[in-house]
Amino acid sequence: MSDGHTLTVLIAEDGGTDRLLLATIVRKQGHRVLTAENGKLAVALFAEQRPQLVLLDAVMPVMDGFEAARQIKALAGEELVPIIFLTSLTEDDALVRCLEAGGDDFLAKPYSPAVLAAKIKAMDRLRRLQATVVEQRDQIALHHNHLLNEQRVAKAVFDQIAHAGCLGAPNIRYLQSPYALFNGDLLLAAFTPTGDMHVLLGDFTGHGLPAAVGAMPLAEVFHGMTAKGYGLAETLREMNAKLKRILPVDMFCCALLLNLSFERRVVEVWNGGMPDGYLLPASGDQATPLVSRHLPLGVLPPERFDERTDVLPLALGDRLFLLTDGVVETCDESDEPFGVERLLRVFSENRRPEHLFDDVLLALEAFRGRARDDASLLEITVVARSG
Amino acid sequence: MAVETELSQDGKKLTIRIKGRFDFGRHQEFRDSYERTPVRPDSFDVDLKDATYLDSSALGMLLLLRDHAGGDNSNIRVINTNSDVRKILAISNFEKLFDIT
Repeated sequence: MSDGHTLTVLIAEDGGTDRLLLATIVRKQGHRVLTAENGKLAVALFAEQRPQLVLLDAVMPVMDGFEAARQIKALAGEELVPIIFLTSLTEDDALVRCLEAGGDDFLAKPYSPAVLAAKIKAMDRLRRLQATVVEQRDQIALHHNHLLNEQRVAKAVFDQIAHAGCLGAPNIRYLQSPYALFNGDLLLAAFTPTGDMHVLLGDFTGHGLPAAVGAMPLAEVFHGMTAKGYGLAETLREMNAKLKRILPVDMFCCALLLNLSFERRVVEVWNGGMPDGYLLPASGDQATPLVSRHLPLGVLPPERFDERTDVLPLALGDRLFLLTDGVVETCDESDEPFGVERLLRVFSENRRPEHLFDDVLLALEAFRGRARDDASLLEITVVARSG
Repeated sequence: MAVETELSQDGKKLTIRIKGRFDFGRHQEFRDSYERTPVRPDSFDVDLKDATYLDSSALGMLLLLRDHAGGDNSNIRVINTNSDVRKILAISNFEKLFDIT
């Protein structure tokens, strides 16, 4: 055979003459032939020799072709072993039964060598297509595992730089997926030497490795400058300048930064491109939105960067609530987003402030079942003294 | 075509129309739309009349166009924005960089 592959073909046919005829035709076409005279022998031969294609008589003693087809398909597993039924049956439902038993095609008597050759060729194409699909699926699974492993390693390195800071403080609650970093979400918190708390919730454009790579220098600047006692303004300027310098033009980081002074009972807020955060007064009064007034970090050159902050007074028990757009964009089954309105309703219906964080989580869960990987939430309670 | 371009008769203005989702999938088409223009227009209109959705990578693409068009000296209008799109542009304060209507 010049234009095809040499296959091993199993022929199961109880009639000796037909078996010989078919074997001769198939062999002439360049294939290797195995023969069996009933279904049971065919199945045994299949298990032993793993032929690539099977010609199966429907009506045979001991075990008929239908049962043999079922058993051969089960043995073949993921591999496509095409089965062509040989049949003198002409009633529709007999032919339907052939296909239902796992047959891929049928060939009616009397056998035409040309038609049989064409069918074998067509089935071989299918067989190879299936083999390619399975192989590629396995490759994708392999690559996916590599990727997850790389992410684990990258996350471990990142955690060394970003470390937990003071995210473990008793007045902080947060929700962040372990994969948030690779969705571009970034959550940082640290104490200044004077006991103020700096907090950053950020969201890089894009996702995957590029987003995670930008997060590393940002975290380094945040922790380094906070530990040295720099204020929010200087830290912001440095972060913006650094991101502007290293990121490609189309990448930036939306960020909301807070400087909470528990001593002086004020919070400084800088929001560049993040959804509204909220200051929820302990008094139960309406929430004050922390609105985005700036371009995201990494967009403007240093000379045009605006580090001005809003300053709001705090009272004991007030709560600051920050979120990424993954929260309000969490969609239900019909693609309807959770939205700001629903979030505000959770705020206004809340009667016990200490349950607010859980109320929001429950509302998200009720809405969609679970939070998205890129939904990060943070709540900070104003306490008498922190750290 | 999800991204269509039209050069004004005098070659001074390039209009880029986005249809459907303006997201990462449009990246190459969007870049091609202004990089493959034979002349260098003075101004750009990004027409979002038929844009249904805009994500952060679309904002990144607008920044790329702005950079291409001369950064602070660029003249780019983002026109026909619907209220959803305008909200997204407003949160990012992109009206500080673009003329948005």
